Amino acid sequence: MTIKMGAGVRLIGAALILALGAGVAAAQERQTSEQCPAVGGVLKFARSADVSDWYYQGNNPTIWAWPLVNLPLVKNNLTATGLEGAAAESWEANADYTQFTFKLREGLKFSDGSELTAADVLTSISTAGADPQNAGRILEGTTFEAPDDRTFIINLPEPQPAFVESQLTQFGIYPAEADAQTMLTAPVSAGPFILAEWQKGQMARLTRNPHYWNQPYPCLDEVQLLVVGDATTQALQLQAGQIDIAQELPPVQLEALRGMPGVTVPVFPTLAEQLIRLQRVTQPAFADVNVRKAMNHAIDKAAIAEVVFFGTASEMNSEMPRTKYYVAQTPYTYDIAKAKEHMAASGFPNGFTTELLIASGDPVETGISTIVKAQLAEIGITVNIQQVEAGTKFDLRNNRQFEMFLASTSADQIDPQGFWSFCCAAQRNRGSAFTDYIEDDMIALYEGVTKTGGPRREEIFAEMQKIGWDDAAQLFLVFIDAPIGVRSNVQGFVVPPTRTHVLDTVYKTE
Amino acid sequence: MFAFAVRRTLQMIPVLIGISLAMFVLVRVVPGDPAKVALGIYGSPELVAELRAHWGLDQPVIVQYGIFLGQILQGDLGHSYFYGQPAIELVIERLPPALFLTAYAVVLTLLISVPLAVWSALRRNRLTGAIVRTMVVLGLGLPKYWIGIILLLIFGIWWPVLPVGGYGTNFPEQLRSLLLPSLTLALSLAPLIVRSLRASIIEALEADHVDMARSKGVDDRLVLLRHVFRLALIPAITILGLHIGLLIGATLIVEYVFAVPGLGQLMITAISTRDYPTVVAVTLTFAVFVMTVNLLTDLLVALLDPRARAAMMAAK
Repeated sequence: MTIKMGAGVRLIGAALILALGAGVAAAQERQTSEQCPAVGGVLKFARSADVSDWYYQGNNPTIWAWPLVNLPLVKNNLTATGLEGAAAESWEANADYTQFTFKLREGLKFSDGSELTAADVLTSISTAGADPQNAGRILEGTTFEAPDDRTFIINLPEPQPAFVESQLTQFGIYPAEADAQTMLTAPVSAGPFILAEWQKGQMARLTRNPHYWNQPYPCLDEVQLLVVGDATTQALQLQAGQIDIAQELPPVQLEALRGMPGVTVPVFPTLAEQLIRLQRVTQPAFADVNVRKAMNHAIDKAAIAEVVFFGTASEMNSEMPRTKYYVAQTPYTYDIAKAKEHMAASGFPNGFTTELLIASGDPVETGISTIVKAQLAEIGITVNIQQVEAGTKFDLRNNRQFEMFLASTSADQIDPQGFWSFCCAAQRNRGSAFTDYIEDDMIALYEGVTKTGGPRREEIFAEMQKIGWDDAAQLFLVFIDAPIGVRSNVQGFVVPPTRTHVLDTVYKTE
Repeated sequence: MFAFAVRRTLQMIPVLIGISLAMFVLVRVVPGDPAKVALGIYGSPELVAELRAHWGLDQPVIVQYGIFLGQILQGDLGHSYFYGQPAIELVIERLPPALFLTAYAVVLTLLISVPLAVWSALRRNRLTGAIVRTMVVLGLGLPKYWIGIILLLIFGIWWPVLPVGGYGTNFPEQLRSLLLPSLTLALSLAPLIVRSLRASIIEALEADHVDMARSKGVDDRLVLLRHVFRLALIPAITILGLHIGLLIGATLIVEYVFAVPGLGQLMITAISTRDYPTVVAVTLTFAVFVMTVNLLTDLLVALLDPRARAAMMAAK
């Protein structure tokens, strides 16, 4: 009996020592380092909308938060000019871009501690590709191979130079036995954080993934994504120290916030732009290049940047967002005399009346439309502003029931092929973002770019930008930057141009 | 009274069917396709059609409504397109903050309006009474969004004693977090109650039975409580009950400003994403709530007023 008790005590003692040892080891692992000058803490991040789920990337709030939890094979770099490895440490394409071979990092683990192998990658990507919600993203006839635990191969039925950039940043890797339905709400992947709690529409609590490949990141212990719909409330919460980061700030309050103690307002360039799309069928005047050039010269974009965006925007100088292959064009200067010359040379020298479709209750759209209306009046164009609810606005656009459409558009991928297919190359039945802008040279170039890689790809994108710009295809306005409210004790915070949340390097000081 | 309550409850059923049909049709008439919203700009027409078929949106509206009614009988209000979960679950998750906010606002409305109404009625010919009347007019004109932001500025920033929005995780925190949104709602509703209650008190003060009580030498306070206030309370309760619908409408804005995760926020998200099942589920919940409050108001008025009770009994 005595012996048994002694053994029990020893067992308990051993367990205690082990537990203490593990605790000490854990504490040692979380010591500060050059990468993480401070470790631990909770970051409260206010966003205007919640994610819809954690598997698909169906809307911006979801796309931005998705990489916090999920690990893809590759990810966009912080300047949106190229890719860097995520699960893959390297990859290569064959000469005709029909085969891509990925080498996975060594020792990868899922957030539950289980091993992540090429078999998991194969199942995850083939499952996602077969999902009807991802239809068209992976071509029929594509095959996958996992010859060993760290090698994954994709064989495409036809050349796709932009395949990795366009598709593989958006498919997460999950355990082979995982099903998509579970991953919607309880994802098991290998991103920097683990979804610990999700109160839909209110808050998502993410805890540090101890098995994340890129140690010692993330520096934080926990991130709370809080849904605060109103931008003014976000600004007030930031001031009160109730949140650490406010994603949406009312432009009108930026100056005041900059002067407040404990608050900083860094401004990050994004891939977003604001322009007015011109429908050629409902308003034949927009088919006249002189009318379009006149309009582009008649609008003072600097005034829009200053008055509407309070300096957090800049004049557009390409229809391409500031991403890979972006080439700056010569801006259409604000020049009423030149605008009048173009109008006189057009088929509508006496002007015409048109309608501008905007979303009601949106101060940015109201501000821009007011300026546009006043300035186009100077060259004889009467603009009637039509305000509708945001959802209705997009439906009217999709049905081509508009003449001028105030668009805020953005690229989610660093390769602009997808963006260009929607905006400018009359793809499918959308006719260049529903404007019916059809330019044969542009379409021919676009067809070529889908199959061309290397330096020629860059050249083709440059040519397409020049064609669209010189043709004044739309009424170009401004590139939009993102002013973010950040508490002064939050360090290492950056927003890449794609606006995805990258919080690996963020740490909080006292 | 019990028979009246049962009859009124049964009358709610056709009203709810009517509301559900109206909402069901209206959300579909409004431009905007949930499948296109869900798939974004890169969703092909084929994929959009496939998703519409999956959600049953390719069927005639009347067929869709028939399916919906069948689901309701099984306690199913449909599946949220946006969140991918049963709409009834979403409503249940958001109901506690919404109910808490509404109840809190009603309590604050009464705490503000009853003393003010009594005060201004008793001093109706004095400056203080006039000041209250002016405040009421001002209160009626102030937009709720503005009131909310000003309250947040005062109590969240300048004198930081209350949280700037949010809901909290336990009851004391919730009580603190919801004080400002409830106060915002109360400040928009109180002027209506003050005006109605004040007018009723003045009318009651001039009633014959009140003069009689006074002439008998009954204490002024007792006269006020037993004869004046009880009589004056009846129209005020009716007004309050009728304006619960207004209050529910106001929670949409207030929940948004104060980041309260209630039904109002859910409704806004559901409308913007064309999440039809959730829009209908939230509307029906609001409708049930408003009708229940109206029923309770009628019963309360009947309890307080024998004339109303008699009319209720006489009603077929």
